[in-house]
Amino acid sequence: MIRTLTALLCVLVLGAGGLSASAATGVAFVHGTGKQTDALNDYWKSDFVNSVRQGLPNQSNYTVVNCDFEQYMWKADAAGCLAGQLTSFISARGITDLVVITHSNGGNVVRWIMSNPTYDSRYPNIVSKIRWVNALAPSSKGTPLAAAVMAGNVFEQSLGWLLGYKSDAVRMQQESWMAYYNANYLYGTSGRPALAKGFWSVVGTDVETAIWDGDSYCGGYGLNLGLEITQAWLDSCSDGFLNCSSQTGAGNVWFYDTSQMAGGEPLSHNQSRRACFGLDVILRNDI
Amino acid sequence: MKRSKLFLGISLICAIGITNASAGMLAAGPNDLVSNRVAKAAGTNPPVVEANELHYAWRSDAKQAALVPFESVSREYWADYSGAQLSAGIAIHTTAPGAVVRISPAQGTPVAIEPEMLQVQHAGQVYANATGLTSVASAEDLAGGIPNFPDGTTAFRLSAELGPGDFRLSAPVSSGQYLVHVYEPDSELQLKLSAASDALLSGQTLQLSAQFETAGRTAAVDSISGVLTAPDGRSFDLTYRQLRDGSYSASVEVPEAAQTDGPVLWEVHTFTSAGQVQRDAKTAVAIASATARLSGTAERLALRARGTNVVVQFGVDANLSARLQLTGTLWGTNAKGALVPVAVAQTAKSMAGSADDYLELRFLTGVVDPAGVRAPFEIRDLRLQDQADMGLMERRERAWVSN
Repeated sequence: MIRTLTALLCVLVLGAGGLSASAATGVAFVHGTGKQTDALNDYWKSDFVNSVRQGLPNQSNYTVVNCDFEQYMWKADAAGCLAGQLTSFISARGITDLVVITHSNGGNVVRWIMSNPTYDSRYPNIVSKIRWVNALAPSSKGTPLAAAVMAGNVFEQSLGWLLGYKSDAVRMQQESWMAYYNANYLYGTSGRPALAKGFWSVVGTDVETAIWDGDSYCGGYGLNLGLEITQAWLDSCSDGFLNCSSQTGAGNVWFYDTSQMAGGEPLSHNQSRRACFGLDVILRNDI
Repeated sequence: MKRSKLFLGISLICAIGITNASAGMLAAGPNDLVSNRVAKAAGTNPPVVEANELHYAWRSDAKQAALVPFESVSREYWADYSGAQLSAGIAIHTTAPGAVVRISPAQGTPVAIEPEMLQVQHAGQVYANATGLTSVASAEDLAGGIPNFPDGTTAFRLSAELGPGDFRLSAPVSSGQYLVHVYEPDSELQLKLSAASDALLSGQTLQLSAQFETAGRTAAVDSISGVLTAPDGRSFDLTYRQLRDGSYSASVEVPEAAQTDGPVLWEVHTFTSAGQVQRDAKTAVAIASATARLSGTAERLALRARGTNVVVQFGVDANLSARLQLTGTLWGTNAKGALVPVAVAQTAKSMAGSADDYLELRFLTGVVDPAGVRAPFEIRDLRLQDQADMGLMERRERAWVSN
């Protein structure tokens, strides 16, 4: 409801200013943890992206970001790369109204840009163009699984740290680390100042893997199976990688999966970046 | 004073003059991060991304709360075993049914321990071929997934039907090293760990609190130890002492900050054992070197401009050339006379380390007037950072009040 009202207000404001007719709307897809060189095919899948961009007045006004999000969010290869690709997209297509769709840790990298606008002179222009961020399963408060992966023999970890053996992005998404970043570097969490633009989360609440259920195969049965066991480390409400409390940790909740997905299906962490249960259509209609 | 393009873009500003409209900053509070002196730079700063002076502000009426340091709650532990130890059998003591066990081979260990390879002994019974286990995930199930477990990782739950108690796990492996992670989601025995502050400066004291609980009541442990690890690999042993309330406390003088190119955190690891029950907890803190500080001066500029504009210059003491970032939240007085949050402003510029350096927060009419507020104004949640490493050098809950 809040989201609907905000959208209406946005239209009214744009209309009053006479900008709606000339606004060039674009959409940017921002992947999660990982170093991507072909995120369209390796991370999102083209059927998802092509379905979402049908909502654009000009379907060419989209970009699929490819950056190294194995790095800490502030790194040149992470936020710097994202800023570069968004700036080029905005400039090349004349974008004045940008909808950013993020998945998982991609939401943190975008929040870095929105929370530290003076860190890089490209940031203010990007923030000014953003209409809002649709954050699919954002890891806003981290995940216990990051600590599970990172922890172990602390001395080996120190060595691994020196050697750069572990993924810095995973280390960063430990809950204790994200608590610090949310308190000091990233806005939008409870008790902290708001972000300059809306950050609307889509929350995945469960993982379903039944070999006889076709829904369990959307996004890949094997990947969903892996998320079923990882739920053991998480709360009863989780998408197999993130607790719901992390996904709702920043900005506002747009919707919980079962309230909007076809058949009331939940979205696993793998499915919230795929054309599963009508997610792509909801995102398309939002543009 | 050089004006940024952003500032020039605000056409409502007609003229700028400086008056000493407010004498200075408020005194630091007990929860503030402050340094009494400017520290010498330990080395060369990493390069910054930006050279231009920048200003940015946005509206924010979000309710704000005092910072509460993160508290880690652990119902888990990690242990290393050799292949020979696993072959002979390792003991796992659980305190609640359905413990989750993950086994990861160390780098260079070629054999994954698949759940079907395990023999589980419990209460005089032997369970083989993954009987006695539930939610079994093979190395193939976990490969390439999210999260990115080490290659060869397997996981399972000890069947809840077997209840808690002593388990013995063995596998037919003869070499290599394995990390075993035992997590008891339903256990009432937990270790809590927290730091008194999440951000410290070199030379200050890091205070840690650890508490072992059984069904919500504080309990003693047989042993407790810890280590503070730095981003550059340094580590410092922690010594805990028990307090009268049964909890444990450790303190350590904060070492020299590590040289990083971003806010990479330090970690506190704490290990306990109570009888056969083991718990490991960790949390994270930031440690910076105060190579710059706010001098204590704060001057509001008098602007001949439409609307309400609150522009405040904060004096800065810096020991080196640096690009510093200052962020603060403006609070204003609403129609009911209550102070409410209005907007966030941030600025950054390069400093030469001269005595009259300042950073200027600009809350202009575009972000102030929509809130419908008036004086008195306050600037809260003020933070000073070095953009070379984004180290947090000063943090004030309440920084400035208008006349």
